[in-house]
Amino acid sequence: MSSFSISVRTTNLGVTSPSVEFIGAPEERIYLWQVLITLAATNGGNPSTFALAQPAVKGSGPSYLAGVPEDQTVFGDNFPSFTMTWASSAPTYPSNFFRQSTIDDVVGNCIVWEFPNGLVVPSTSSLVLFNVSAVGAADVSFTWGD
Amino acid sequence: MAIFSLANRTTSSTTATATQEIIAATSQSYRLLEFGFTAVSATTGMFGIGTPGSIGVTPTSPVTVLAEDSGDTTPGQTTTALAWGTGPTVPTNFFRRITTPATIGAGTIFTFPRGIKILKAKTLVLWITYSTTVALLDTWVVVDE
Repeated sequence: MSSFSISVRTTNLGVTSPSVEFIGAPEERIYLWQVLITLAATNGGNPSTFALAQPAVKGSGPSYLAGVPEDQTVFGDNFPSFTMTWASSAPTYPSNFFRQSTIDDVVGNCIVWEFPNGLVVPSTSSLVLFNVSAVGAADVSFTWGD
Repeated sequence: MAIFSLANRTTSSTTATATQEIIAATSQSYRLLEFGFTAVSATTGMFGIGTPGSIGVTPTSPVTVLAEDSGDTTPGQTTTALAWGTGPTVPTNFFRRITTPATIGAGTIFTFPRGIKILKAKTLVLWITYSTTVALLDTWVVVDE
């Protein structure tokens, strides 16, 4: 198993909007191990609530970003699955979530979610970091293996 | 061994009551591996995790935990509830207790490497131990069925 990570600054900040998406594929089985969210900009004095879930409908037309290998293997992220933008349609907001946390409106406040057994990205769906409320821009980091 | 989890936002902040109950199915026990929460508002909180004196009766719209491995087609059976016809009663003793400051986002992550085993049809509760109302919480539970 190879391990990868990526860190991005979120740009979709509206309520119930998706920030980022891991889209599953039949070619590989992705295990998400860690999610770190750090507030990078304030939200007008309002707290920011983020949640991780399978979407009601996964996104389409994604522009993928390749993960950075953590183990310095010669094998890169051959099946990129991470995206922040969707040309056709963004993933849609679900009813239930694996994780949900609220961060106070102070730059640098953060939350880390860990999955020691790996949170599996469904091959026919995806995992999405949603904004439960309107949020401040955040630096989000993901670590996964495939 | 299958891992399931679920996030909730609590709906009750009333002192000396349960704000969440994690309910084992009548045919399936679970082990609680992790319980985390963050406060939604700037209000001091005091909480404890324990087995209630009496479990809640007629939980309102309990939600079933989600599989963390979607390739495992066996659905979870553990549920969580935030309200009841008759609420759970106070635990005699607590596995964990915590006090959180009056700060949005304050919270904790409790991990139980070997899990707290809850038998079939039994429950765990997050109990409000403070003497006044507390913040609502974004919580999550991780269980092994």
